[in-house]
Amino acid sequence: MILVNTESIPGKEFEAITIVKGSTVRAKDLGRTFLSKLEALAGGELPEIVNLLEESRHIATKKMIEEAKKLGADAVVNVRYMTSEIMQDVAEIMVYGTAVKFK
Amino acid sequence: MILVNTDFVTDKEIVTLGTVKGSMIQSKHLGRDIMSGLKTLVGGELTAYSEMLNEARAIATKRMVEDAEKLGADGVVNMRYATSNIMQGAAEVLVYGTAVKFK
Repeated sequence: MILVNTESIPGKEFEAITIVKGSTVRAKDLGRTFLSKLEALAGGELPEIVNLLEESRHIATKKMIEEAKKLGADAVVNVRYMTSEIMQDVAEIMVYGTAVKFK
Repeated sequence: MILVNTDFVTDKEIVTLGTVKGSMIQSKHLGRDIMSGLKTLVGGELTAYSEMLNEARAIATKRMVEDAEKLGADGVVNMRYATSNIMQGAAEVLVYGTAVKFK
């Protein structure tokens, strides 16, 4: 499965199947949330939050790939990531793109 | 109806008809909200919210497709998703794109 965020794949001709997406809503435990809030006072990178979002993105991408595989896709083009805050300390990560089949 | 988030449909010449969109604001009942609130204490995926947003997106997409069908479209290109937190426990999902007709 090839994932690109360009609209085309050099050297490949393909046919669009449909749009596919994957998303997840996740939170860190209270302790880590608290720790991150303390770290935010001092400034700098917030490793716990980075970790949470990275994990979530990985899961969302996996869900999207599963959906694409079900459709018999060879690749997903024009992949876009989106993050939004659903409630306090809770983020939704979403990834979507167009599933395509090579000719 | 073909839905893609690229700005073309392979092998098709298209005429644009206009922007179409669908949106949905959904909330979960109190019980699930409380469960999700508790889940933020321990961390992990908030399944209730993941489901809620997936359902909402499916409905928003349906509304967009209905909108496109009214215009006599054959497909929607350059689709985009957007999510925003409207109030606590409720989220708006928006999906939009350009309705096109094949030549």
